[in-house]
Amino acid sequence: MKIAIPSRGTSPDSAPDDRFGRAPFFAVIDTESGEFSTIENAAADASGGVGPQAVGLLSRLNIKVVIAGRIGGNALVALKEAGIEVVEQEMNGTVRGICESYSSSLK
Amino acid sequence: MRNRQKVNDQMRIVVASGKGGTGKTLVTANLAFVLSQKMAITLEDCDVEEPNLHLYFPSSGKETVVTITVPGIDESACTLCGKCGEACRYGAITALSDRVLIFPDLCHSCGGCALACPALAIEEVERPIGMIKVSFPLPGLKLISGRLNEGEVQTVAVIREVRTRSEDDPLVIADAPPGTSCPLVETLEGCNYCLLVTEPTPFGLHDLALAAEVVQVMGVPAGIVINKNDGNDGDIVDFAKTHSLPVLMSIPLDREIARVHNNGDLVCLKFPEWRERFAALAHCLLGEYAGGGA
Repeated sequence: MKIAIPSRGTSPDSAPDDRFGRAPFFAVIDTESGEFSTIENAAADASGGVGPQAVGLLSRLNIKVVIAGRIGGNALVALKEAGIEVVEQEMNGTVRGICESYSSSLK
Repeated sequence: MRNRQKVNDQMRIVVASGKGGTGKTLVTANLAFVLSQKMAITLEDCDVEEPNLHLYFPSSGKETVVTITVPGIDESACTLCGKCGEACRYGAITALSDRVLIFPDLCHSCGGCALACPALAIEEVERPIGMIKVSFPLPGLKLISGRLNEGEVQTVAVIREVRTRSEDDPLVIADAPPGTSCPLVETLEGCNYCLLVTEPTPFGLHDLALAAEVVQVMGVPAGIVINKNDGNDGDIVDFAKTHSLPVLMSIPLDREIARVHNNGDLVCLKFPEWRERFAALAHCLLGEYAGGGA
């Protein structure tokens, strides 16, 4: 299962971004294989409606779970429509750390 | 359509304010009334988020729905490539893994998504966003009121529809929306003169300055009406002087004027001296036009 976390950088040790639609990157982690990758959020600097665009990007990558700090109304609607599970929580530490806590919470 | 330079020989006067609640409608309604006694005029209510001129000129009239176009998806043709979403700077359309999601209330009807779609899967669908009502409440007066439906954002689209209904009319007075953004610009484009209604408060002055900047950038000549004047109008008068804007009228802070106006009555009908003063303002604005000159 692939999960996505808004990230400020491209490394597993990057700090998470508290925002969803305006995060410059998304860390994508496959919880089964442990494979880590990042994708650039092309819409991050657009004037508006960035949330739904980010959801489109994640949906086409077959992401099943999004962990984020703050998610806007339109993005929430789009995430629901896309069938992506939303975990809203405080965003501290690194994207790797957030991913590991999430994975261990599933066990 | 977009290019709204002067329409024929139309004389267009816009009453604007920047700040809401300064008295645009008071000035517009009374000015329109005195003018309608002398000549045929068209009154536009471009404050489409909160139109209220019809309260002063109640009448039945013809209503038409304002629609905009939003994208609709032909799912049999869509390949879910996501190009539509990349083209939309408003985030109104986005391709998910199994279908395309549309947010109609974010859409600005630019048609960019349809142009970007390589599969020609996007068609335009009409969506109602407001209403236009045209009425003739007095022999010399045509009133065009626009109304934007609650929750909609495309104010400019409704104002544009209001304006198409006065294109052939010789004299137009328009009640502008408050604020200094796109709706005001749409109302001002191609106009001959702008009356800036303000009040002697720090907020009145602040927003007057913003509105004055807009009319200056647009190259529209303007003058000021000070409403609710309690005598503390020094800052406004100073501003007018430094910006070479004439103060054309001052309306006192007066309980009787407020009472009449808030009852939906015309101040110039209740008080003969105000009829004269609005007639003088009209003459000042229209001078040669009213005299039948050019």
